Amino acid sequence: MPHLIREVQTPYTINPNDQAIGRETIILQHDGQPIAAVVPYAEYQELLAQRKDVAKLEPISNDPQFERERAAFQRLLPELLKEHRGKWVAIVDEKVADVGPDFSSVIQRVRARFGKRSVCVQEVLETPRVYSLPSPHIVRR
Amino acid sequence: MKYLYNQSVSPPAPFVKLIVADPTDSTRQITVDAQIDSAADISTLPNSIVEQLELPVSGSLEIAGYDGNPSIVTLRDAVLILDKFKFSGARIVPTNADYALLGRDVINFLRLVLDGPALTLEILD
Repeated sequence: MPHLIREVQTPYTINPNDQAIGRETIILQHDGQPIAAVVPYAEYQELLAQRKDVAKLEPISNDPQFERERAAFQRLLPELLKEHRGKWVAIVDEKVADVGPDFSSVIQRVRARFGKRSVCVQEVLETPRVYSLPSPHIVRR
Repeated sequence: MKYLYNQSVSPPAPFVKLIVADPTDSTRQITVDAQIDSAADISTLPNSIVEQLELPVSGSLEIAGYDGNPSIVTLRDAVLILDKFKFSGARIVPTNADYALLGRDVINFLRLVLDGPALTLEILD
Protein backbone atom coordinates (compact mmCIF):
# COMPACT_ATOMS: atom_id res chain seq x y z
CA MET A 1 0.00 0.00 0.00
CA PRO A 2 1.69 3.30 -1.05
CA HIS A 3 2.24 6.05 1.50
CA LEU A 4 0.56 9.39 0.80
CA ILE A 5 2.22 12.75 1.36
CA ARG A 6 -0.31 15.56 1.13
CA GLU A 7 0.61 19.19 0.52
CA VAL A 8 1.12 21.17 3.70
CA GLN A 9 1.46 24.89 4.24
CA THR A 10 5.04 24.61 5.42
CA PRO A 11 7.89 23.05 3.46
CA TYR A 12 8.41 19.42 4.30
CA THR A 13 11.55 17.37 4.42
CA ILE A 14 12.07 13.69 3.81
CA ASN A 15 13.99 11.82 6.42
CA PRO A 16 16.34 9.37 4.64
CA ASN A 17 16.15 7.19 7.72
CA ASP A 18 12.39 6.80 7.21
CA GLN A 19 11.79 3.06 6.88
CA ALA A 20 9.40 3.62 3.96
CA ILE A 21 11.96 5.46 1.78
CA GLY A 22 13.53 3.08 -0.69
CA ARG A 23 11.23 0.23 0.23
CA GLU A 24 7.77 1.41 -0.70
CA THR A 25 6.20 3.67 -3.29
CA ILE A 26 5.28 7.11 -1.94
CA ILE A 27 2.64 9.14 -3.79
CA LEU A 28 2.84 12.95 -3.62
CA GLN A 29 -0.50 14.71 -3.92
CA HIS A 30 -1.53 18.26 -4.74
CA ASP A 31 -5.15 19.34 -4.20
CA GLY A 32 -6.00 15.71 -3.63
CA GLN A 33 -4.57 14.66 -7.00
CA PRO A 34 -1.48 12.45 -7.35
CA ILE A 35 1.35 14.44 -8.96
CA ALA A 36 4.45 12.31 -8.44
CA ALA A 37 5.69 9.05 -7.03
CA VAL A 38 8.84 8.24 -5.10
CA VAL A 39 9.78 4.71 -5.97
CA PRO A 40 12.53 2.45 -4.66
CA TYR A 41 15.75 2.99 -6.61
CA ALA A 42 15.80 -0.57 -8.01
CA GLU A 43 12.31 -0.04 -9.42
CA TYR A 44 13.43 3.28 -10.94
CA GLN A 45 16.32 1.53 -12.70
CA GLU A 46 13.91 -1.10 -14.02
CA LEU A 47 11.66 1.62 -15.43
CA LEU A 48 14.64 3.29 -17.12
CA ALA A 49 15.67 -0.04 -18.65
CA GLN A 50 12.13 -0.58 -19.99
CA ARG A 51 12.15 2.90 -21.52
CA LYS A 52 15.47 2.14 -23.22
CA ASP A 53 14.06 -1.14 -24.57
CA VAL A 54 11.25 0.76 -26.28
CA ALA A 55 13.65 3.44 -27.55
CA LYS A 56 15.98 0.87 -29.11
CA LEU A 57 13.18 -0.95 -30.95
CA GLU A 58 14.89 -1.81 -34.20
CA PRO A 59 12.97 -1.32 -37.45
CA ILE A 60 11.95 -4.55 -39.15
CA SER A 61 10.72 -2.97 -42.38
CA ASN A 62 11.32 0.04 -44.61
CA ASP A 63 7.72 1.15 -44.04
CA PRO A 64 7.83 4.26 -41.79
CA GLN A 65 4.06 4.26 -41.24
CA PHE A 66 4.11 0.68 -39.96
CA GLU A 67 7.19 1.35 -37.81
CA ARG A 68 5.37 4.27 -36.14
CA GLU A 69 2.35 2.05 -35.39
CA ARG A 70 4.63 -0.72 -34.10
CA ALA A 71 6.51 1.70 -31.82
CA ALA A 72 3.18 3.04 -30.56
CA PHE A 73 2.08 -0.51 -29.70
CA GLN A 74 5.26 -1.00 -27.65
CA ARG A 75 4.71 2.32 -25.86
CA LEU A 76 1.08 1.48 -25.11
CA LEU A 77 1.75 -2.13 -24.12
CA PRO A 78 1.88 -1.61 -20.31
CA GLU A 79 -1.58 0.01 -20.40
CA LEU A 80 -2.92 -2.49 -22.92
CA LEU A 81 -1.85 -5.36 -20.65
CA LYS A 82 -4.05 -3.92 -17.90
CA GLU A 83 -7.15 -3.61 -20.06
CA HIS A 84 -6.84 -6.01 -22.98
CA ARG A 85 -4.48 -8.82 -21.97
CA GLY A 86 -4.86 -11.80 -24.33
CA LYS A 87 -6.91 -9.83 -26.87
CA TRP A 88 -5.90 -8.41 -30.25
CA VAL A 89 -5.60 -4.67 -30.74
CA ALA A 90 -5.23 -2.58 -33.88
CA ILE A 91 -3.00 0.47 -33.69
CA VAL A 92 -3.82 3.10 -36.33
CA ASP A 93 -2.38 6.63 -36.23
CA GLU A 94 -0.56 5.58 -33.04
CA LYS A 95 -3.86 5.01 -31.19
CA VAL A 96 -5.95 1.96 -30.38
CA ALA A 97 -8.50 1.73 -33.20
CA ASP A 98 -10.04 -1.68 -32.49
CA VAL A 99 -9.95 -4.56 -30.02
CA GLY A 100 -11.20 -8.10 -30.52
CA PRO A 101 -10.75 -11.76 -29.65
CA ASP A 102 -8.73 -12.67 -32.77
CA PHE A 103 -6.68 -11.19 -35.60
CA SER A 104 -9.23 -11.97 -38.27
CA SER A 105 -12.17 -10.08 -36.78
CA VAL A 106 -10.02 -7.07 -35.91
CA ILE A 107 -8.29 -6.73 -39.28
CA GLN A 108 -11.56 -7.08 -41.21
CA ARG A 109 -13.09 -4.15 -39.30
CA VAL A 110 -9.88 -2.14 -39.69
CA ARG A 111 -9.77 -2.70 -43.47
CA ALA A 112 -13.44 -1.71 -43.78
CA ARG A 113 -12.78 1.48 -41.81
CA PHE A 114 -9.30 2.54 -42.95
CA GLY A 115 -8.80 0.74 -46.29
CA LYS A 116 -5.43 -0.35 -47.56
CA ARG A 117 -2.81 1.21 -45.30
CA SER A 118 -0.18 -0.09 -42.94
CA VAL A 119 -1.56 -0.86 -39.50
CA CYS A 120 -0.29 -2.84 -36.53
CA VAL A 121 -2.59 -5.57 -35.24
CA GLN A 122 -0.97 -7.41 -32.36
CA GLU A 123 -1.86 -9.84 -29.60
CA VAL A 124 -1.56 -8.21 -26.18
CA LEU A 125 0.91 -10.43 -24.34
CA GLU A 126 3.83 -9.67 -22.03
CA THR A 127 6.08 -11.97 -24.04
CA PRO A 128 5.28 -12.25 -27.74
CA ARG A 129 4.30 -15.69 -28.96
CA VAL A 130 6.91 -17.39 -31.18
CA TYR A 131 5.38 -19.06 -34.23
CA SER A 132 6.89 -22.15 -35.78
CA LEU A 133 7.52 -22.32 -39.50
CA PRO A 134 9.82 -25.32 -39.82
CA SER A 135 9.72 -25.72 -43.62
CA PRO A 136 12.92 -24.31 -45.11
CA HIS A 137 11.38 -21.17 -46.59
CA ILE A 138 13.32 -17.94 -46.49
CA VAL A 139 11.14 -15.48 -44.68
CA ARG A 140 11.27 -11.92 -45.92
CA ARG A 141 11.65 -9.22 -43.30
CA MET B 1 -12.71 -31.67 -54.18
CA LYS B 2 -9.83 -34.06 -54.83
CA TYR B 3 -6.25 -33.11 -55.76
CA LEU B 4 -3.38 -35.27 -56.95
CA TYR B 5 -0.18 -34.84 -54.96
CA ASN B 6 2.46 -32.67 -56.57
CA GLN B 7 4.93 -35.25 -57.90
CA SER B 8 7.50 -32.75 -59.09
CA VAL B 9 8.72 -32.56 -55.49
CA SER B 10 10.35 -35.50 -53.76
CA PRO B 11 8.74 -37.13 -51.94
CA PRO B 12 5.38 -36.12 -53.48
CA ALA B 13 3.40 -33.63 -51.39
CA PRO B 14 -0.21 -32.45 -51.04
CA PHE B 15 -0.74 -29.19 -52.93
CA VAL B 16 -3.92 -27.25 -53.74
CA LYS B 17 -4.86 -24.34 -55.96
CA LEU B 18 -5.31 -21.34 -53.68
CA ILE B 19 -6.92 -18.08 -54.73
CA VAL B 20 -5.46 -15.04 -52.98
CA ALA B 21 -7.46 -11.81 -53.01
CA ASP B 22 -6.74 -8.22 -52.03
CA PRO B 23 -8.50 -7.62 -48.67
CA THR B 24 -9.77 -4.23 -49.86
CA ASP B 25 -10.79 -5.24 -53.39
CA SER B 26 -11.81 -8.88 -53.76
CA THR B 27 -11.90 -8.58 -57.56
CA ARG B 28 -8.09 -8.47 -57.53
CA GLN B 29 -7.14 -12.15 -57.31
CA ILE B 30 -4.21 -14.40 -58.13
CA THR B 31 -4.10 -18.21 -58.06
CA VAL B 32 -1.06 -19.88 -56.54
CA ASP B 33 0.03 -23.43 -55.74
CA ALA B 34 -0.09 -24.02 -51.98
CA GLN B 35 1.37 -26.90 -50.02
CA ILE B 36 -0.56 -28.28 -47.07
CA ASP B 37 1.85 -27.97 -44.13
CA SER B 38 0.53 -29.18 -40.78
CA ALA B 39 3.88 -28.32 -39.14
CA ALA B 40 3.47 -24.60 -39.88
CA ASP B 41 1.67 -22.48 -37.28
CA ILE B 42 0.90 -19.83 -39.90
CA SER B 43 0.44 -19.55 -43.67
CA THR B 44 2.86 -18.01 -46.14
CA LEU B 45 2.72 -16.50 -49.62
CA PRO B 46 5.42 -15.86 -52.21
CA ASN B 47 6.73 -12.28 -52.27
CA SER B 48 5.70 -12.01 -55.92
CA ILE B 49 2.01 -12.48 -54.99
CA VAL B 50 2.31 -10.09 -52.04
CA GLU B 51 3.80 -7.44 -54.32
CA GLN B 52 1.42 -7.93 -57.25
CA LEU B 53 -1.64 -7.62 -55.01
CA GLU B 54 0.05 -4.95 -52.87
CA LEU B 55 -1.10 -6.75 -49.76
CA PRO B 56 -0.99 -4.25 -46.88
CA VAL B 57 1.19 -4.56 -43.78
CA SER B 58 -0.88 -5.53 -40.77
CA GLY B 59 1.52 -6.39 -37.95
CA SER B 60 4.59 -8.33 -37.03
CA LEU B 61 5.41 -11.60 -35.34
CA GLU B 62 8.31 -13.69 -34.19
CA ILE B 63 9.00 -16.82 -36.20
CA ALA B 64 11.26 -19.75 -35.45
CA GLY B 65 12.33 -21.25 -38.77
CA TYR B 66 13.68 -24.68 -39.57
CA ASP B 67 16.98 -23.76 -37.88
CA GLY B 68 15.10 -22.85 -34.72
CA ASN B 69 16.43 -19.28 -34.74
CA PRO B 70 13.64 -16.76 -34.14
CA SER B 71 13.35 -13.62 -36.24
CA ILE B 72 10.77 -10.84 -36.33
CA VAL B 73 8.93 -10.43 -39.62
CA THR B 74 6.20 -8.18 -40.96
CA LEU B 75 2.80 -9.66 -41.69
CA ARG B 76 0.32 -8.98 -44.48
CA ASP B 77 -3.36 -9.77 -44.59
CA ALA B 78 -5.35 -11.26 -47.43
CA VAL B 79 -8.48 -13.14 -48.35
CA LEU B 80 -7.79 -16.81 -49.13
CA ILE B 81 -10.22 -18.88 -51.18
CA LEU B 82 -9.93 -22.65 -51.38
CA ASP B 83 -12.73 -24.38 -53.30
CA LYS B 84 -15.90 -23.32 -51.49
CA PHE B 85 -14.08 -22.08 -48.39
CA LYS B 86 -13.24 -18.43 -47.90
CA PHE B 87 -10.86 -17.15 -45.21
CA SER B 88 -11.18 -13.40 -44.73
CA GLY B 89 -8.62 -11.60 -42.60
CA ALA B 90 -5.96 -14.30 -43.00
CA ARG B 91 -2.49 -13.54 -41.65
CA ILE B 92 0.27 -14.02 -44.19
CA VAL B 93 4.04 -14.27 -43.88
CA PRO B 94 5.79 -13.32 -47.15
CA THR B 95 8.61 -15.68 -48.21
CA ASN B 96 11.03 -16.11 -51.08
CA ALA B 97 9.51 -19.46 -52.07
CA ASP B 98 7.56 -19.73 -55.33
CA TYR B 99 4.62 -21.50 -53.71
CA ALA B 100 2.43 -20.85 -50.67
CA LEU B 101 2.18 -22.84 -47.46
CA LEU B 102 -1.18 -23.42 -45.83
CA GLY B 103 -0.48 -23.76 -42.13
CA ARG B 104 -2.67 -24.89 -39.27
CA ASP B 105 -4.19 -21.41 -38.97
CA VAL B 106 -6.12 -22.32 -42.14
CA ILE B 107 -6.19 -26.11 -42.40
CA ASN B 108 -7.61 -26.54 -38.90
CA PHE B 109 -10.87 -25.24 -40.36
CA LEU B 110 -10.91 -27.97 -43.00
CA ARG B 111 -11.58 -31.69 -43.11
CA LEU B 112 -8.74 -33.16 -45.17
CA VAL B 113 -8.10 -36.73 -46.25
CA LEU B 114 -4.48 -37.47 -47.15
CA ASP B 115 -4.27 -40.73 -49.06
CA GLY B 116 -0.56 -41.32 -49.35
CA PRO B 117 -0.60 -44.58 -51.31
CA ALA B 118 -3.02 -43.08 -53.84
CA LEU B 119 -1.16 -39.72 -53.78
CA THR B 120 -4.42 -37.82 -53.39
CA LEU B 121 -5.69 -35.08 -51.10
CA GLU B 122 -9.43 -34.63 -50.64
CA ILE B 123 -11.13 -31.63 -49.06
CA LEU B 124 -14.43 -32.78 -47.57
CA ASP B 125 -17.49 -30.54 -47.38
